[in-house]
Amino acid sequence: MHGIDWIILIGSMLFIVVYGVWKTRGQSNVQDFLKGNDSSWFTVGLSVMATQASAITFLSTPGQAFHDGMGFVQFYFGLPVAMVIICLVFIPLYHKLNVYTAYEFLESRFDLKTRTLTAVLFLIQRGLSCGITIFAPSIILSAVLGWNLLWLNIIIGTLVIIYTVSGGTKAVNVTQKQQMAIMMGGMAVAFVILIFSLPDGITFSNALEIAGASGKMDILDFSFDFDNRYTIWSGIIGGTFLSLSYFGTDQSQVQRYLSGKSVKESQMGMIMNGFLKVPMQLFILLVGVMVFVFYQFNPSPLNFNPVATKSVENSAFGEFYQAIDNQRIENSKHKENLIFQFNNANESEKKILKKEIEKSGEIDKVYRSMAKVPIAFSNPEVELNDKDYVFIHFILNHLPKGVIGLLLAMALCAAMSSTSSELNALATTTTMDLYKRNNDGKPDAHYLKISKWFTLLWGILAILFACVANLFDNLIQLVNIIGSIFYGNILGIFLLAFFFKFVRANAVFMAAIITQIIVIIGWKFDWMPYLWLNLFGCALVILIAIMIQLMNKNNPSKPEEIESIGH
Amino acid sequence: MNNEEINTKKSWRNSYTWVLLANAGYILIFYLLMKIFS
Repeated sequence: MHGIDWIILIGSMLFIVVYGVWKTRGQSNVQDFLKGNDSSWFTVGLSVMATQASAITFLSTPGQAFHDGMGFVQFYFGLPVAMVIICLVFIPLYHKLNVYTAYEFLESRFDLKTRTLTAVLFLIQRGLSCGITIFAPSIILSAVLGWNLLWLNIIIGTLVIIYTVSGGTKAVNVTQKQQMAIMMGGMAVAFVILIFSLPDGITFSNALEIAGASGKMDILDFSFDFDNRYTIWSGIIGGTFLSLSYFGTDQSQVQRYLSGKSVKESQMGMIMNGFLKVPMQLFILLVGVMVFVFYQFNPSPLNFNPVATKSVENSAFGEFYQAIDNQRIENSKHKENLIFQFNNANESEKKILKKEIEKSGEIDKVYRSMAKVPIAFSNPEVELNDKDYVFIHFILNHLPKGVIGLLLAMALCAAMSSTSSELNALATTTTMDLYKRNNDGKPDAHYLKISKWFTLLWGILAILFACVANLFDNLIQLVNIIGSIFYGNILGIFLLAFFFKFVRANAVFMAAIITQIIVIIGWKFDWMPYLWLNLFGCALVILIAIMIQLMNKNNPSKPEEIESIGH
Repeated sequence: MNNEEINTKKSWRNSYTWVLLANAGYILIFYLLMKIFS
């Protein structure tokens, strides 16, 4: 890395931290620190988007498009529907009750034990994934740049802790504006450079044709194949469900829109997310497709993970790996010729050449799959799927000085923006749902101080977890599994609260405990792919709660009207 | 419910309709892009 890259990278990081601390200095009450309550719709919208966009979004998504095309965008088709439901149902109620956390609402609707249960489930799930939010970009950047993994975890975590402890929700919101500017600016610069890097005679439209001939422009899949993860149906139905649980019940998102200065500002922020999320994801995928086209005219490695390549090259399988690579390079040259012919061909010739290009693309895929065999033998622990490394390989090897620093700042900003929201939410839930609920009546300054200590504590725990994460196999998958085990149950409890007015506290609590046990057993005995545990847990808790309620009609319960709760 | 509240509700319903229509439009554009370039 050149000096100018270091200046841009370190300058951006320090600017964000100093700006966040300076802009939110002098907060003297817990309401300002945890809730904010003065954000405009634009700030809310950007904050919601920045929270969801982690470093993996910017590093892995282009790699996903490189390998599998743009079909992943379908995953977000349900998000706008969820935004509308949240605006109509969730936001007005949260604002009316003036709650700090989503779980606080459950006490007014059901009882204290339901609130505490959901808050604890959230803390377990989000506490673990917060460490992964730091670890995931760190492992990629340390692999490609040779930086020390532990130090990278500590630096990212410490920078976030500084401004999140100092300024709370407001600091998270104001820094996310700058972070989004760097993230989207970085992607836009990379996109423009990719367009200008195309060979003479190849326009942007030709590039899309070339991508299409290689199957990368198959954006929509109308099939009903359950084995196909991304179809328009799974996107709309599953996406609505997943977005509803994430945006409606996860405190790291709920806290972002509760910081709006009115119901209308919060709603408008979410509507902004509904308008922009799909085009934003498409743009990130388009960058990945352009990286694919770029590598049709420029040499690419057989496997983009440098650790994997180094392992296999230094092993007894090095020659075998090299032989596969030589054949792949021959195929790539042939494919490049076909692409140039395709670009100058008439419509009838194009049809024939397209089939040839498709065939050559399939052969390329076979070589890349074959290469995983010697890699796995040389180092059984190395990550075989290299999609996380495609975009960073392009950044480090093909972008000019200065832009590399900007793109690395983009990855770190994305990690920081998600982590700060998570720490903020973890601290708020711990303070309001567990500590203050059981230690009420202390001065405001006391809770402010406690909130800051909890933010620091969760920050240290996240760094520690990120530092030991490397010791476990498939840790990211494990965290996703833990999320799937709890998420469905939590969403089910909220749906019962909103839409099943006759179901009361005891029925919900018992149903939640039974559901959690069944879901854990279901996961243990592998009843279904773990992503489906979300839907299973949600449906099960609703069904069991209704059954218990119907069986126990004399259950003494809270009034149907939701009471206002004090803090 | 006064007139102002009804108008606010109406304008919000419009926003919700627009966001869903816009996304339906995105899907249509993606379909056309796919047809042109695939």
